[in-house]
Amino acid sequence: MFSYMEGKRKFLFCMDSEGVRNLNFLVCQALNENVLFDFHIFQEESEESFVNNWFSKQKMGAYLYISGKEDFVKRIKDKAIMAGFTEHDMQSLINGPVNKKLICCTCHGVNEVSDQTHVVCVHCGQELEVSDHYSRRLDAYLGYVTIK
Amino acid sequence: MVSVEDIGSFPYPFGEHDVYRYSNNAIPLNPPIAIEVTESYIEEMNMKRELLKKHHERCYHSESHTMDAQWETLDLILHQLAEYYPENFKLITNDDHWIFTNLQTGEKQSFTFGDHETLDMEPLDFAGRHVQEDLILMMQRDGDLFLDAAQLCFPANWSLFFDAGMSFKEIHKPIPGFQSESLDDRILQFLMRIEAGNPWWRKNWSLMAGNRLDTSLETFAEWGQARKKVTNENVGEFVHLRVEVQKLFRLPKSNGILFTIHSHMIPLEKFIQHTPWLEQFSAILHELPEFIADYKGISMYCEVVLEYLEKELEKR
Repeated sequence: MFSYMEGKRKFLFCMDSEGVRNLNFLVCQALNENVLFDFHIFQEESEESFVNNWFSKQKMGAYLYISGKEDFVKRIKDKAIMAGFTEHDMQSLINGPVNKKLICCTCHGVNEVSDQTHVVCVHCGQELEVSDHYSRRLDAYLGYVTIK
Repeated sequence: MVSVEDIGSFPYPFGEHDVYRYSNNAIPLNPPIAIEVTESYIEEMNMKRELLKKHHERCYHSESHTMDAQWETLDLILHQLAEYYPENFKLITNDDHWIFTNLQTGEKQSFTFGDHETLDMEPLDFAGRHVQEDLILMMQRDGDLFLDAAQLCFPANWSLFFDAGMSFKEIHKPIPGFQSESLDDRILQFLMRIEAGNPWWRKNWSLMAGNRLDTSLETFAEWGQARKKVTNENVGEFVHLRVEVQKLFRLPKSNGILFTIHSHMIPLEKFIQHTPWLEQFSAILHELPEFIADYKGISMYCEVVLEYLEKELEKR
């Protein structure tokens, strides 16, 4: 769930049509407390083209909330980071299933997983335990082989 | 594949206490030598080079910004080999024109120092093929250390391919209890304060079923099975104490940290010949918390080892 960040000079709200409801209470709070904000609901991917420009124009103290489906959140987050935002300058919330990449420790093959704890590697057939060991370089989690 | 050592030269990993916990047990390294050539040199060079040939992706990784630190590492390693083992290695430096001779492998390489084109592999990869140590380069930036280059042939159950590029804390996240009391942060702060000219070292240990040096995570499915094959009959010869001698050198120009790991192995039956070692190791293993035994991969056969150590103690 999102939390309201005190002491920011401006909020940026970015959401797809699914993400709107997660942000309502934050918008209300920003209104009550007279904090500046910008608000964008994206219906289609093509509407996101101005985002880079929009992000790069923000001043220090801007804080970003992103809400929507997984691929939407990921795209917007990447653009924000490219524009100079850090993980400390934003919060994001994903609606719907979260797919993540899992790398097989044996063959380095990439598997798609959502909420499973164990999967069979589609490349080499090893049974893998899904871990929370995460690589930013590979944007993937590590799948361990266990001894039975 | 057997690469076991003589008890006389084995690096005993425990301190004065009969209790083992994760800690920063690094002490100043004196004399300041990053590498050690042992009797199994040729055997281990052959193993390393075979692994690098067949599995370069899992044994070597480098980011392009590590090139200066790689040359500094090569400088340090080749000079130390020639200085401390002059009967085995020669180094002639004439300005930037260097000639390195490894008399044990019968290799001679001339190259221009700092010129990548004159070596047929990266400097870190070259240096690593002449020492038994695994070589890891941690680069410092933004108040953190990152694993940005390494030649790693004998990992203790981790993956360079996966961990490459990670920060110190990201790498150590899978270790249970490593974050408690901010141990991870305190060790990171310690590492970042290491100064050029004042290297440190520590020893780490684990038990393993079998005697493989190349216990990569990639091959765990093969060697991990051996844990199920430990019995009362074979435990003494089959289970090995594995000790990593780890050394930390600050590289003055690039500000990177060179982390060398020399892995040693000895079968339990040989290790416990020395009674004080048997006594202390037995006490430590008895007291070892489950989460550490689990992480070190000992749990499956720990009881068999404890019984064996107790029986041996009774005989003394």
